[in-house]
Amino acid sequence: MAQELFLPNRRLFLGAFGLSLFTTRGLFAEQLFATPALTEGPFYPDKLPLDQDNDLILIKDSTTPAVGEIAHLFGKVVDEQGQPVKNAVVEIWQCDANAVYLHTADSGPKQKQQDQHFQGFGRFTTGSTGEYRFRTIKPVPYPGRPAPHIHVKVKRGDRELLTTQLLIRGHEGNAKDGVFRQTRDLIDRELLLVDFKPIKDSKIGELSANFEIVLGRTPDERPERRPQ
Amino acid sequence: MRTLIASTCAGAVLLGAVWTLAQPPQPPPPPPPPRPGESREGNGGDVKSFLARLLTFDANQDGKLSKDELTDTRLQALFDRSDANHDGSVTKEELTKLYTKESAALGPAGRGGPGGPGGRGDRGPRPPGGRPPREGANGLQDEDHGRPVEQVAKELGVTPEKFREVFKKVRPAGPGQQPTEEQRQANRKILSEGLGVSPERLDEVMDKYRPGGKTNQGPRPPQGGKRP
Repeated sequence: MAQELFLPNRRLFLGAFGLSLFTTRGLFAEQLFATPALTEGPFYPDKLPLDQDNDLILIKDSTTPAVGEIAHLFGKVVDEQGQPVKNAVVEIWQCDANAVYLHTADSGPKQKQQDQHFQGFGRFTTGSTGEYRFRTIKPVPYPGRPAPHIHVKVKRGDRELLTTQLLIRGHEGNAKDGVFRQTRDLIDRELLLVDFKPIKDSKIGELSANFEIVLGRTPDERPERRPQ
Repeated sequence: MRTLIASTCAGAVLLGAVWTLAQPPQPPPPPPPPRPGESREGNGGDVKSFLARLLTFDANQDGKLSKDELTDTRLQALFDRSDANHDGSVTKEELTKLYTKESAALGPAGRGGPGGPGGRGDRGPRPPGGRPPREGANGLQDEDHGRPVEQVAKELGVTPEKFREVFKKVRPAGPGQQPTEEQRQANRKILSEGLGVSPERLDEVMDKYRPGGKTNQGPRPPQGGKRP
């Protein structure tokens, strides 16, 4: 395996196999519901950090972890037939525990507030199973965004396949959040909500969060006139 | 410890395999064809399409969903919320009740929501589930932040595509900020030159369709700026 998978806890490893129900449905079903898109927002990093791995809690060789509740985010990238998507580049970015994004437009004016130990951005390329995972912090609200969220982007080759956000299921801020309220369909809303569950054996209060990514057809694949 | 992990995982794989074999390989029924006058599209649409989408999981066609039938684990929470009498099965009535209750709780479409002309409704059919957002420098999405782009474009004598394209070049203010006078003038210039209309005509039309009514300011992102 080219990339190290975080397997700190066998419960998480088993969790990955629980997804067999999900993918089996894909073999029989007409189509899985595609993960809905949400706006990219203004803070996709303008300068990618030196460390772009899937661990946002530790930057490079630093031993000082980021502030926040540690969350293990994992899932599978599949197509609408439930087939795993290999070589999908999954990127996540989010504000740190003090509500500062890595993007210079945000972190520039907020240097003193920023958690210098939070990587702010991470990347993972799926293998043949389509699985991905990250170690990051549980997201927190940001001014103007009462719903804590993690931005997610999926690319393959030079094509962007999906840009969206995942939110915390049950968070009171979701109902007031302007971006989330734009998603009116109840099923679509459900597909963006993630449970952040305590990991029972963790002595440091780690959480696990499972976010399945189902890729629908992109504009390039639809029979449309290509833009010049 | 490693042996324990290995054997537990092997057990989980075996369980998954056994489950797969036990399941009779029959696809769930295809969604019913749209009745006359009823559109199949309707994400953010009506209760009929909501029910239709969920009942694609009704493998035994008894008009109800059992927990076993709902193989997409992402919808488990929705199922649990719908199962009012906790009998492990969800009826159309229970789903309809939930839909009515939760759609009402969403309230009227917020700023930037789809409603009205230029909203999602008149954009023609699109596949259910995810769709990629139209990318723009200031994160404009299909909803165009409540502006009826078709009408604005028509009044300015350009195509909606051209309008959106030129609008992408507009420099947004930071989140929660108003643009400076300098930015406002620059944006106005970009738009009037890009669209081939006079700044006065531009102001006139933009003010006419500005969500929240006319203000003294030139074209600007909706209050609160783009949402991170």
